[in-house]
Amino acid sequence: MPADQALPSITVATPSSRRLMRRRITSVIGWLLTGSALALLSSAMIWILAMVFFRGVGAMSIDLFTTVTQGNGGGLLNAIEGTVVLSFGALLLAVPFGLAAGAYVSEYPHGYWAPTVRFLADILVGVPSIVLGYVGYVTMVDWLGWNFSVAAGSITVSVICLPYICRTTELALQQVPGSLREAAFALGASEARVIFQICLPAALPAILTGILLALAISVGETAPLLYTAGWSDYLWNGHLTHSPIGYLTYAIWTFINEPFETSHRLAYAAAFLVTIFVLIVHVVSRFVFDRHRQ
Amino acid sequence: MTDATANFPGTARVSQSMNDAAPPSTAAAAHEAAAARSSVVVDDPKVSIKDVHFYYGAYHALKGISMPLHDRRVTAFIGPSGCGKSTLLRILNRIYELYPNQTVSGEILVDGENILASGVDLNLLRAKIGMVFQRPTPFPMSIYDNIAFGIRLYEKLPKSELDDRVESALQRAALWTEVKDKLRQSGAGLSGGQQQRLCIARAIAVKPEVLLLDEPASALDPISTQRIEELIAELKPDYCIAIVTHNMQQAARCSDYTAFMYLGELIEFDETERIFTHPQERRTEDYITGRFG
Repeated sequence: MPADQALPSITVATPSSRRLMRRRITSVIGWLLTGSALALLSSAMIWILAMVFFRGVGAMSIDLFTTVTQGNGGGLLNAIEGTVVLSFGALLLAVPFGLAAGAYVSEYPHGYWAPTVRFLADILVGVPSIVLGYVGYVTMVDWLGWNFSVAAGSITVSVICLPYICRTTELALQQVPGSLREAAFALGASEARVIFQICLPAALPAILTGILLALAISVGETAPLLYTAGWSDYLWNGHLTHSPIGYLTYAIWTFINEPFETSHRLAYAAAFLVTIFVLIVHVVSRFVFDRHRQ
Repeated sequence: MTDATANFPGTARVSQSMNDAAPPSTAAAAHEAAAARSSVVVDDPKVSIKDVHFYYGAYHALKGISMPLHDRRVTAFIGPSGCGKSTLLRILNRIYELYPNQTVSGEILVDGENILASGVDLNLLRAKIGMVFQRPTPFPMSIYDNIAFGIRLYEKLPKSELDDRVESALQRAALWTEVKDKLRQSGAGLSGGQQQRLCIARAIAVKPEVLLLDEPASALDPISTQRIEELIAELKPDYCIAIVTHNMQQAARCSDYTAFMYLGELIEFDETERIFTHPQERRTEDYITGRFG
């Protein structure tokens, strides 16, 4: 604003007022373009969110959380439980492997396998999840004969989460100041101690952010689970193989296509739950990361 | 020496910004240094650096450095940026080996043993030769654990003994009274000056014999700098101390010997008083009178 107020006196003083005019016009056009881009993006998002929220809130009821799905109606207890089980299973597998791979790539950037691991992680991020789902179907569901199951679903989703955890761990460790590492080495600490007792704790908030992101991804995945977890109207029987399991994204995908009002309600309720959960995860991870930065 | 330091425009500013009520430490430190200097050092040097060359890849960073570091004395390395003074310090505990393509030749004898030889246990070497860096580097853990970390690397002590060691290290670093009620809090919550004293405490908790200080006060305010310098004077009777500094007044105030380095060469090494009053080399004189660097 002060710059704006100062402008008229300059326009009078300098002969090139046309140039200044041109700059102003360019600036206004620039602002209009960015503003409309923002409006376009946010209106699409707000529209989606608003629809999910209004229809989702309208579909909310106690029964949703206490009863299982019955055909085209009932509740979502089985799907909520299944999503929790599958995501937990996926993280259980992806976190240790992702952390180990990320730590290796970051701490031994010149190690023999480091370029390979980094390359594979990059490739894995780019593979469409439905392809991974199909691979999971061919290998685990069919070839190993596990059928639609918790194990096949969790392992497939864990493969999708793995590169994100690996990459964020690598970046988080790289942001640990070199001086901290040097200080630990200067005390005579071994490599393992420096990594596990100094670097990983220092990078923990950023690593946690990556894990939360992976959690959000695993809760929101649909296609790979259609191929590997199947669907079940019942609660999980505790078996890892040979028994399909329900999950929220299936409810969205399938029930919205049914011609029944009850199934539409289920689909919107499931969409609402998934969206809310992902939103909460992102807010929490932002919070964790901001606190870490301070 | 006061004559020499009076020539530096920075001196007045520093003492002005300190509290007038606090007695200037320079006088006390200078007095002590003078007393130390009058007693002739007859001991063999604790550390003998002999014809050390250092290369960053193909770049010849140190060109045949030879000098002693005496026990219970402070040796300052001064010189303009890039002259190799920090590099020399980083060879003394072989921390340079963390990075690829850095090679060294020559000998560094510590108590008669060549630490550059292959087969030297690096962890034990670094226990014997402690280091404090330019920026404070508290570990992401409590104040207590910051100190205990180093001790636990080498000794398995019962809790009560460990407590004593932590306390004595913090006392030695003049930090105990400030942190004794918050030992379980994170080290990152301390002020910059306190963090640096925490790092010094952490280094001496391992009971080293040599202390390497790489511009330990350059990131600190004048008051914290003064405390660090006082601390160096207090630690001197027990350690062989080498300090890299950009600040010539600091070198004059707290060291017994000074090495002036320029472009990877050791130009002059002598007692601090002589370096600052009667330098033998023209380049030394030009540097300490502020004509370059």
